[in-house]
Amino acid sequence: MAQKNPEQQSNDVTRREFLAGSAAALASLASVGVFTEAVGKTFSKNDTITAAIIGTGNQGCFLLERAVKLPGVRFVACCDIQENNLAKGLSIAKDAKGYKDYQQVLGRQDIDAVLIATPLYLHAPMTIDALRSGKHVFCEKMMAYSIEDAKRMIRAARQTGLVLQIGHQRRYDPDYQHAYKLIKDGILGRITHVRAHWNRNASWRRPCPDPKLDELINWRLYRRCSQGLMAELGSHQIDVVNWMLEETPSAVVGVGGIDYWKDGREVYDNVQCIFEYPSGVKFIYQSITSNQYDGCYEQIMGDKGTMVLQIGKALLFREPKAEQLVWQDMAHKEKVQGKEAIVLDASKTTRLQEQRGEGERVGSAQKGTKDAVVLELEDFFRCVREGGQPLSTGKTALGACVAAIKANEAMDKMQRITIPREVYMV
Amino acid sequence: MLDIAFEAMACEFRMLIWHPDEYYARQVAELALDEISRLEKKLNCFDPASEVSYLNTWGYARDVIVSPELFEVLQLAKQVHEETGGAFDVTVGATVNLWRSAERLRSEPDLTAVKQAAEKTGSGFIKLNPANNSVRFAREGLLINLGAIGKGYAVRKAAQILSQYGISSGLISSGNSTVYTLGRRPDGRPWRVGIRHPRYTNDRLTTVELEEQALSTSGGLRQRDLNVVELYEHIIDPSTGKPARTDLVSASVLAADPAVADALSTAFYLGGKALAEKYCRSHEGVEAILVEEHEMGEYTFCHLGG
Repeated sequence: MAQKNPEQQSNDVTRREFLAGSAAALASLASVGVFTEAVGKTFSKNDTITAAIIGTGNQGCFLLERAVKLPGVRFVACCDIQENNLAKGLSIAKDAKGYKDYQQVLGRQDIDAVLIATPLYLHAPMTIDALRSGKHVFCEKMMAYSIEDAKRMIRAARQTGLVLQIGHQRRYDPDYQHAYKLIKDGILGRITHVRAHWNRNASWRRPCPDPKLDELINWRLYRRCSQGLMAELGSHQIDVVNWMLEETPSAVVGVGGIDYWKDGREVYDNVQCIFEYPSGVKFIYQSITSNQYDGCYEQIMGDKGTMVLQIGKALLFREPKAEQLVWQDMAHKEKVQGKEAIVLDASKTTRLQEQRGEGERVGSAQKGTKDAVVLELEDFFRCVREGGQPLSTGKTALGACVAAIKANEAMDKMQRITIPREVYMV
Repeated sequence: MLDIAFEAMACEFRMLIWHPDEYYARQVAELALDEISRLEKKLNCFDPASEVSYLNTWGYARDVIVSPELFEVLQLAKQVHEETGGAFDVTVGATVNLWRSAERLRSEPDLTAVKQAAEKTGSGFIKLNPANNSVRFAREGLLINLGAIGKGYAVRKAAQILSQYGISSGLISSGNSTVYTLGRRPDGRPWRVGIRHPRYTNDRLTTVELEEQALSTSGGLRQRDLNVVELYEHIIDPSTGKPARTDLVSASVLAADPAVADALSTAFYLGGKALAEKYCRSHEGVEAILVEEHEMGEYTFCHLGG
């Protein structure tokens, strides 16, 4: 992962695209020609996909551990500029060769697909380079450091015809999918408000023995590399809300600050924002780092009920005036702070068993299941092998990326920022 | 001195860290605690979404590639299994589950089922392939439970993080059963850890000094003294499938590696004094402190090795 100067990198792209833009039709024809060879590879069902990972820090290894288990996928390259990270990656992908320069990985003709789990500001340059060298890309969230970067990624995927998936794994969580279906069926009535938070009591800082390396190790805390809490945590939950509501925010206000961890960090250690949606829904979001009482969940509120979603659990609370559901008596219930909650159990649906059962029936539906990250990686490699679009594409991820970046802008400027529809267009 | 504790693996992990920069110490501690949570998600067989649950479900049907950490724990578990003549065995999962379900119903499990489960037990049935970190069970129905080694392993990995980040004085404990110390106390003296008397729990049986060493204890009175339904503690004898019946009230082990100390304390508790003596004689650096109960409520303890 040789770090090019990111500014130079994006200038390069800009210039190239500017030229292309001046003769759009011609350029797109030309690019089709250029990339035909790279895209030409088709797989049959039993072919092994040759894969690489760029960035084997915490999240990279988290992905890799799951990805190496997948049948029909072989990891031949790991790339990281930090020795210890690279060693961790290579201990997981035992056949892989180690690299420090990601361009060398992309130069390998035998590699079909790459996973990218690098600091935010590197997502766009690396994804675009990978697509242009003919690799399918799974890129971690948040999608990109800037809105323009995100759009370039989408365009590069479109031009090359390759898969671009963004790692918003909640889209693959069976409980969330179950919730989405119920919401579509109107179980909450008319949705008017959403509340979500991700509250922790931790510094978010990794120990760094050498101050010169701090920006590399604690990149999340520096504005040059990071969009802070809204990107690293908030984008997951904004993506969920966008998905459930089937719309994207039209305006945002917010207040943030560096108020507790005064340790030289540049990004806010607490953020609270309100997003407005075209339908009138208001979505209140908070992420703080000095109290973890509320943990992490999304609470979707309609005039017939409230749904509380978190990884591993989904609860439904009915409003007193809402009509009785047909299955309400049979549902498993629990008391939460004196209120009765219906536990939404996706494992009761047959679809889940098909998805998780690997073609064999498991005695207990819960045992040996795959988590959402395994499911999203399966989807990626399925799309690489068989074609088609993953559930979390560049286009679906753009909404959360725009919203998070605009929320930061609102907090920085202390203004209400409107988000015209064109911002979401690519 | 930073003193920080948190819940994981159904017990309390606690760390004492001494470093001139307390904010730095806290960052390191957070990293070590994150590591423990990460390991819990891999090693906890009671969590249906854990890696070991996944292995338990599919391990017989096909080769399952596992993370380097789970692979390492299984390698170590097999090694201790062999070295202790089978007294330590992580494949008691099915039997443990029978006793746990019975406990929930406040009854005894079906002893035929227990016998059948015990016959399926044996770490020899875990086949490890280091070429790609894959695991395969050679026997159907094998269930792995890492309860007797996982916490020690978590202490080991957390300790590695502390020393990797330059902490030269510290202590990590998991649920008062495994303790590991780094370096010496800030005043230059070795860390001293007390072993509680298994019956008179306010009394200290003895005190040991630890330097870059782990101390782990298994047993205690819950297994023997309380009435039947609460008797099914965590220690199941792999040879019978039943809660341990042993001459010892508790077994403590000193060793360089907390994971080894954790596993051996269970093995010695089950295998008794004879096993502990034999093991300590042939393994330098391993010491055992065993508490025996005699008639008339008399207790004696012996210190082996070292």
